[in-house]
This record gives sequence, structure tokens and C-alpha cells, in this order.
Amino acid sequence: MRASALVTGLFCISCVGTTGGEVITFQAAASGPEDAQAGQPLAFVSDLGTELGWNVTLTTAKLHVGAVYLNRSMPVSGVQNTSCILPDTYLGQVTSGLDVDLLSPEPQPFPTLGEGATMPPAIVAQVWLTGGRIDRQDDVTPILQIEGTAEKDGDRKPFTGTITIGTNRIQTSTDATQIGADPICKKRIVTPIPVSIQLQKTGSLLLRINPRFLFINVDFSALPAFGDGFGFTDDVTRTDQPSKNLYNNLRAAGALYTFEWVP
Amino acid sequence: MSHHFSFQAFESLRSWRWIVSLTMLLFTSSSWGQVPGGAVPNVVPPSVLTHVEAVYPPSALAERRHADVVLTITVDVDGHVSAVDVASSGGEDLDQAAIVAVRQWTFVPAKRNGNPVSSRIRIPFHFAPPAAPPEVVEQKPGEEHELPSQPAVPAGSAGAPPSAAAASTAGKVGAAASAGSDQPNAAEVTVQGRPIPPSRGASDFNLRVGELARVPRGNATEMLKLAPGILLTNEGGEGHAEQVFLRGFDAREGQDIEFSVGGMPINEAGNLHGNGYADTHFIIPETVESLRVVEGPFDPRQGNFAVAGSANYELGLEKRGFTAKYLRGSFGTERLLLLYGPAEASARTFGAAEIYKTDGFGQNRDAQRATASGQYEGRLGDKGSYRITGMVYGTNYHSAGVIRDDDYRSERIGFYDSYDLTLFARQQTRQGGDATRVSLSGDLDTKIGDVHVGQQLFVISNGMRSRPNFTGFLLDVQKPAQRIHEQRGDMLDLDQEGLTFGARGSGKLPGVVFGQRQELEFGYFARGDKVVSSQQRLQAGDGVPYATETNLASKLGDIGLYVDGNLRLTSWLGLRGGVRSDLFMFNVNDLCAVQDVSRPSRTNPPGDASCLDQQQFGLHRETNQRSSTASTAVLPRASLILGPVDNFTFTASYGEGVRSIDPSYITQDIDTPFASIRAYEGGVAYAGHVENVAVVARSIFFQTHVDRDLIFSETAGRNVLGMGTTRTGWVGATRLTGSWFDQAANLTLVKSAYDDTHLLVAYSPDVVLRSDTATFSDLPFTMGGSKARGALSAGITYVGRRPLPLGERSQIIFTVDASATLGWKNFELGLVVTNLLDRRYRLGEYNFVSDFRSDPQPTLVPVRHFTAGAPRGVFMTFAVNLGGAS
Repeated sequence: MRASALVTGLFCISCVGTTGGEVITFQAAASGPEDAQAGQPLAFVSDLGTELGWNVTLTTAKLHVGAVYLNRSMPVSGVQNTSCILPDTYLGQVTSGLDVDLLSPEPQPFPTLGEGATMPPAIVAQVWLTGGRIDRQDDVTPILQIEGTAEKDGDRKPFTGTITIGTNRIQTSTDATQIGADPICKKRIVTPIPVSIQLQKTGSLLLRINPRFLFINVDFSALPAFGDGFGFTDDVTRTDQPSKNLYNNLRAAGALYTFEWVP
Repeated sequence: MSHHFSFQAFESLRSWRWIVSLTMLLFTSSSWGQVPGGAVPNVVPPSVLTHVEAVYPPSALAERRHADVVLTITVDVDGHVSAVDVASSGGEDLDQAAIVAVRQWTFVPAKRNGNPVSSRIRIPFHFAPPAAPPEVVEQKPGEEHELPSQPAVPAGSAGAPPSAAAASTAGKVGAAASAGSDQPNAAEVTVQGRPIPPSRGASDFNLRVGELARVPRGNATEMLKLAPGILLTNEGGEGHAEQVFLRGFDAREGQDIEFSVGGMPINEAGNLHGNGYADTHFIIPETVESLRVVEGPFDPRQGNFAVAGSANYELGLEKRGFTAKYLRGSFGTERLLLLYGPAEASARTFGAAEIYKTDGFGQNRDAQRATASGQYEGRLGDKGSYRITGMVYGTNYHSAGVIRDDDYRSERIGFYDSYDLTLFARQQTRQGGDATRVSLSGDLDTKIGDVHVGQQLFVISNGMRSRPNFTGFLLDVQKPAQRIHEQRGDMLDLDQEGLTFGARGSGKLPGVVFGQRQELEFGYFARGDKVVSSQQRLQAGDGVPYATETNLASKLGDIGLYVDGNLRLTSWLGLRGGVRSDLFMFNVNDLCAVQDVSRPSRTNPPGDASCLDQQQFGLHRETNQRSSTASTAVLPRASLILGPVDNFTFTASYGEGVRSIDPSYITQDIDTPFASIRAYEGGVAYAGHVENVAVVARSIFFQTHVDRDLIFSETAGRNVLGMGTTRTGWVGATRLTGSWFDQAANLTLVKSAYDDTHLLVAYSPDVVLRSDTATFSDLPFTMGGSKARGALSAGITYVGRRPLPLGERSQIIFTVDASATLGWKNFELGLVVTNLLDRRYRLGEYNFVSDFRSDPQPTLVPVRHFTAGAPRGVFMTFAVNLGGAS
């Protein structure tokens, strides 16, 4: 009798238990800053308090996000310096691309659900700025499109800019030992963005992108002329300060990108 | 006046599928017992020197015939049988079986006044079908394989009781009857044979395949399902070893199970795909006579890899004569099998050859193989026997690999398709592989004085190539010194060649202490392996290798010594066990020791090369580095046996096991981190009869702890060391054997968890249910004056939802395989249906990261993958037997 009870108990416990965590899908969205007003230009002062401070009014700001990933661990030095994909570190992802209107505070949902696991918590996020596969060099998808004006001391500079990350960004090292040290995928992945997110069965992931941080240390006075106005160049061979810094700001894992879990 | 004497022979439970119990009475002819003048001469009748058991013919099996056959034979002056006549017939097939057997007997010739003379004697045979259970559950302590005082089964007996000893009779009938007597004298009978190691308790399964051979099985590995708790999957293709799950272990392709055939190891030490990789496809299922599965490390004879347990195949061929069998059916499958068992030889003498081909049940699943094997068993006078076994095997196959569940659900790929043939992940070189194996083994089993001695030598050459791709396009790391490249593809190209020399031997000393028979066995096992293995990655576009990940030349040694006591404390209490110690030696030459250097030469950068000849700042070094080490493991094992008492046997066992390390982990003088296994179990077994049905039933509770478990890594393509794990569970098994059916069923429940987190170990099934059924009978009609025979069989497998990583559970596996056969005279026509219900099931399911380029961006979180189980297959078989006893 006791043995029968033991067998019955084993039968019950043998089908329960877990390997840990839970695989879930979740809603994911991206938006501009909370203080933006949908349909309205975004006005701000770049580099407030510095001599580079300009009154910037953005009338267009669109960013193409190719994918978003959440990682359980920070990248470490060594081979990961050049490896774009680090298997066994990811626990959340949104793999469908989205053109995000950075002037809208409204969450703009990604076309497909995100996928992930509830354990452990994510401490790092990645934003992939690509229109195609991360290691394809010839991608011409516009990643960032901006339009607006910058004014300072009566100097008004209407500007436009389109940034792509493709063959135009390839720089081959002259050091024969480092010819592969800077693959195109590294230029497209913005990481490590610090986060503290535990995916849950309810709620959604929100990526906020504040375009103000695109213009840190951007000297509008040095903007090259472009058509009737001025423009940020998309040519890596032209190293004007505004274009270079805009590109670097785009890829900086700083305040431009913030993630939060919205219950 | 007639002189006659008698003897009785006890036939073993190990025989192929039934028990032949025969009682032999030898009657001297009246003619030579009388001499003119009425004086009583000094006459000594002939005595049996060696005898061969009669083979119960399959044709009689269907109707479970009991019959007596009496032969009158002439024993010539040199002791051979020169003439045979049937004095009393039991039917043509049984007569022939008796004649075939008796012609192999040898005698000490009769003597008159000390001179050999020819003689004429009568020998009755009694044929009885099997009623004993087809498994050896337990013997009375101390009576496992030598039965000097065991009463022979009397003529007319239905067979030996299930608790009786089991031994393959080698045929010594010792004492002859006294001569010159008018009364028959019962001869003392001693039966010797290849000993079965004493049972280690309820988890020691000595399985005779018997009628359950009719249940459809694709290969010899599937015979393991006769033992409880076995799940077999295969993601690698038909020529790839089955992945075995046993009692909560993911034993992979043999890494955690010690496999052997006729005592010859199957596990490939140092195989890069998995240390201990064991491919049993070279074994032709029809030549498997019996199978011993020990679930747990409880027998000191168990060596390396016996973590979850061990399985030893014994080869034999019951059907004598020449048999040809042809199979043809679904998926372009054809199989031609030729079997030959000389009628005058024992069942362990045979030759077999097989050719097989299939297009496979979906994309990229074609396979072909050929196998030839032969075994000869000869006699060593009256002391024992020897065997020589040779096997040759080769296969070439393709594999569909895994399918992502999301791709299947979005109809980017079909259930039975392969990424290798899709537009987005096309491979120039497809997944698959090939394998070869050639082996030769010789052994002898004899007695020197009172010591029973066994000795075996073997040599094995094997090779394999495996090309799996679990991850698609994910793992091609861009290194700073390499030219810029995209993901080139993750297909592995693993190549392996191994040469194994080895031996094993034992000596068993009997004795009497406490008035009980005791045994002490000393034994050894030794093998040396020379292994060359490499693993490269292939470009998807052209199949060119672009990186070498591993290139090892290894010399491995394993010498194990054991002592095993079989101690009988009382008539109902036995203690079996001892200790085993293994010395593992490694000498590994890493031919690609340096694959990355952070400060390479500026003038001679390594570029895309894999195996570098420079170190920091470009200093020269050779590309290789040799490492060697050795370690010893000491493994106590013991079983306490109570009974049998009223058909019940109670056992408690403790054992420690060991798994040696993969050579790829070896560094100089490393204290090799063997996985240490501790197993405990308690069980009860019942063996008896319910009316005419032989019943065997077992109930076993077990727990096994592994301090460093192996966990499969899809990214590495092989097992990697993990944390400690514990498995706790219960096994129930029954086998019922009647005159017209054979039924085996087992259920295993197990919880397998990590010690630190108590989370479940992924992939190991926690519920496995298996049923094998065969029914057989004469049909109620005749054709051409001969009865037709019919048989039906079914194999049912149920596997519960297996735990997968990240809290997931797999789908249930539920399959039914069935067969029907119609036999007439020497012909047999069969219909085999696999997956009778045509369930679309997933044989294997996995959660891991892959990128097969079905989406623009890779899925980098683990997602569900699966390997498809085969849909319904229908196959026809036709077999003809010529020149056999049936």
C-alpha cells in the first residue's frame, strides 16, 4: 500500500517541475520622448549651457530600428569585441523592423510580438540599426532621417540629414593584424545599453528614443551646405564635425535609448 | 538382457526463445550385452563426452508442441555417431532437430574387455516449448551457471522454473553410467556454459528477445526498449547512433551507457562527437540472441561509461539452415538479409549479411548500409567452448537536421523538410555522414581445475564522419585578424578514426563456506585506443572548410581490475558485489593548439588561418601541443539479495560509476574531472507461473547522483560539463509468456533535477511507457497439406511531455508499430506497419538559439526546434528458410 502510494506520488511529481523560467511573448513598442507632442515639432536647446547650444526645432525625426535584444550579461573583452552575436546571452528579442517617429510620444508597436524568457532579468539591451541582415555590408536602408532648423544668435540653419550604415561606413584598417576588427555589424549594434528589466507575461516593452541626444556636441555652425540649406552628410570620407558627431551619437549607448517595462 | 543407463540434461533459460528440456536415456542394445556361454563379460557402455542441445524448431513453436523422439544411433569405435535411425517419431521437424543435434554428440566408445567396440544405443528426446519467463530475474544465490546438484528437468516437464539457473549449455555430460548393469542408472549431470554474471537485483535485465522479435524494430538499439525507461531519438540520420534516454539520463549516443556485443566494447573512447559514442547499427537485429541491460552501475564488471547503466548484446541465430529475407516498402526502402546457421553447429555459430537502402521519409533522409557478420563457436573438449566473431559494417546517409517550430508554423518549411534544401539556408554539402566498423573478437570459456576461466581478445577499427548543423548561421565569429566576412555557415564536419585493441578476462573460484556454495571472481578489462579526430566548419555556399575547431591525435588507455564476490550467507540471503578500479590514461596531441593570438605578427599576420604557428608578438611556435595525464577511479558496488522466497526476490543495491573525460578537455597533468556516479535502489521481483502463463514482474525505486553531469550544447555540437544532478524514480516492468503470446510492458517515472537549483534537467523524459506484444498460433486451415502459421505483434511507446529549457515542455510521443506474418512450410510473408496511427509526432524537441536565415534578423533567444518522427510506413517482407530444422 505504501509502495503504491509512493508510485502514485512519483507519478504526480514526475510530470511537474520546471527547468526554470518561462517562455513568453510580449508587446513591444518604441516612441519619442514623453514630452513630445504628436504631430508637433520638437523644440529644444542642444548642449544647453555650452557654447555649442543651439535652439533646435525638429520637424522630422525618424529612426529605423531593425531589432531589439535584451541580454542577461554584459559583453566581456576578448573575442566578443568583434563578435556581433553572442549566443547564450540573449533572453528577449523583437526582430521585426520599425520606423519610429521620434516626435511622437505615443508608443508605436513593433509589427510582431517580442519573444523572451522570464528568467533571469536583463541587464543589457541592444538596438540594431539595420534594414537587412546585420552582417550584410550593402544595406542602404535609411536609418535616421531628420529635418529641422537650428538657430543661435540670429543664425538660422535649416537642415536635413539621412544616415545609412552600409558600405559607406566601412573602414578597413591599415594594420594587417586588425583588418577584421571593425566589422559592419559592430557599427549597427548599439550596446551595451544598461537596463534592469524582468520580462513578464503581462505588460509591454517600451523603447524610448529621445532625439535631443542626437545632437550632443554637434556644432551646427559647421554644417555643410546642402541644396538650399544645410545637411548632415552620409559619406564617411567627409569628416565634418556635425555629421561625424551625429553618427556617433546615433550609435552611442547613452541616454538616447531607454527601455522600460510597462506593466 | 539389456544394459541401459540414463542421464538428464538441463537446458538453459538463455536459449533462444524457448526451453528445451530433454531427458536422455541411453539404452544399450541387447546384442552386445550378451556373450556366448552366458558369462558376463567386462562390458562398459558408451558414455556421452559432449552433447549439443536439440534446437526446438520454430515450426513446432507456433502450436507449442510437446513431443518425444527416440533415436537409435550407432556409436563407432572412435566415439562418433555413424548411423541414426528414428525409433519413435515426434513429427518430421522434431525428428530432424533431434538428428541434427545427436550427430554432433561425441562419446567415450563402449568397451568390451577394455577394447573399444561399436555400439547401438537409443536416445530419447523430449521437446517442450517455452513456459519459463524469457528473462532471468533471479537465481538462488550461488546457482547461477553451474548446476552440479541441480536436478535436471524430467522428461515431460514444461520447462524450468523461472527462478532456476540460466546457462547456455556447452554440453558436458559428465559421468557415464556404470557398465554391466541391468538397471538404468541416472547419470550425474553437469551443465557448463557461458556464465551469466550473477544478477545484481531487480534492475538487472537479462532479456531473451524470443517471440518479441516479431515487434517491428529498425535496428538493434531498439531492442533496448525491452528494458524499462528507454527513449530513443535520432536527429543525426539513419547511420547515426541513436540518442538514448534511460531512467532520467540523457545518455546521448552512448556516452552514459556502456555498450558491448559479446563482451566486445561498442563505445568509442575519445570520439569527438561524444566520448563513448556507441553506434549499434552494425548489429543485425536478427542475430541478437539475448540482451542484458543493467540499469545502474551495480556490477563490478561494468566499466567506463556505465553511468546510467550498461547493455550487452549476445549474438546467436536460432533458425538453422539458410534464410533469405527481403523487405520492400514505403520511402523506397529495401532490405535484403541473408542468414546461415549450419545445422550441425550450435546457435552461436552463424553467418549473416545485410544490404539496406532507403530514400527516407522526407527531404535529405536517404541512407544505405551493408553489414556482414559471422561467429563460430567451437568446443574445447569437455571443458568449455571458444568463439570467434567478425563483423564488417559500412553506411552512408543524409540527415534532415532540426526544424524551427516557428518556421514550420509559418509554413516556411515543411514538417519533414530540411533546411539544407531551402532557398534561404541552402547547403552545398548536406547534413549526414558515413561510418565504418570492422571488428574481430576471439574468446574462450573453460575450466582449469575448479577455476572457471574466461578470456577474450578483440580488435576494432572504426571510422565516422558526421556533418550536423544545429544552428544555421550563428557561430562564425569575426576575429580581428580575419578578413571581413559574413556568417559563412555553422555546419560541422567531424571526422573520426579509431583503432582499439583490448582484452578482458576473469577467473572464478568456487568454495563452500557456512555450508553454502560461494564464488569469488577476479577479472580485468583493458583497452587501448588510438584516435584521430577533427572538426571543421563548412561554408554553406561551397562546402569548403573555413575553420578548424579541433584536431586531436589521442592515445587512450583504460585498465580496470575487479573482484566480485557471490556470497551465499544462507539459502535465502546472498551478497554480491565487490570493487572495481580503473586507471584511465590520456596522451593527447592537439594538432591545432593555438587558434587565436591577441598580438599577432604584423609582418606575418595569421589572417584566416585556424591553426596558428605563432604566439604573442609573432613569436614562432609549433601548431601542436601534447598533453598527458592519468587518473584512477575506485568503484565499490554491492547488492543484497533476499530470496527467492515464494517466487519473490528482494534486492537492495549500491554502486558507483565513472565516465572518463573527453580528450578535448585534457591538459598536461590535469586532475581529470571524472564524473562520479552514486546509485542506490531497492526492488522486488516476482517470477512464477499463473496457470500456464509465466510471469515476471518487478518494482524498483532508485536514486542516482552525478556530481558533474554532461549537458548537451547545440552550439558546441556535443556535450559539455555541467553541474551535479540527482535522479529519483520508480520502474515497474512485467513480462507474461504463454503458449500463444508474449507480452512485455514497463513504466518508468523519474524526476531528474540539478542539485543546486532543484530545477529539472532538460530533455530527460520523466514518464516512459512501453509495451511489446506478440501472439502466434497455427491458423485454422491448411495449404497443400501443411498448416499455416500466423503471428501478430505490436509495440507501443508513450513518452510524456519532456522538460525543455526555459520552463518549456515537449509534445507527447505516442506511437504504435505493428506486424502480421503468415508462415507456411519454409516460407514466411510479413506485413510491417510503423507508426500505425500515422501520428505526426516529434521524435526530438529542443530549445536553443539558431539562425537559419528565415527572417531578416536572427532569433537569438532559444526557440523550439524539433526533429520529425517518421510517418506511417508500410513494408512487406518475404522470407524463405532452406536446409534448416524447420
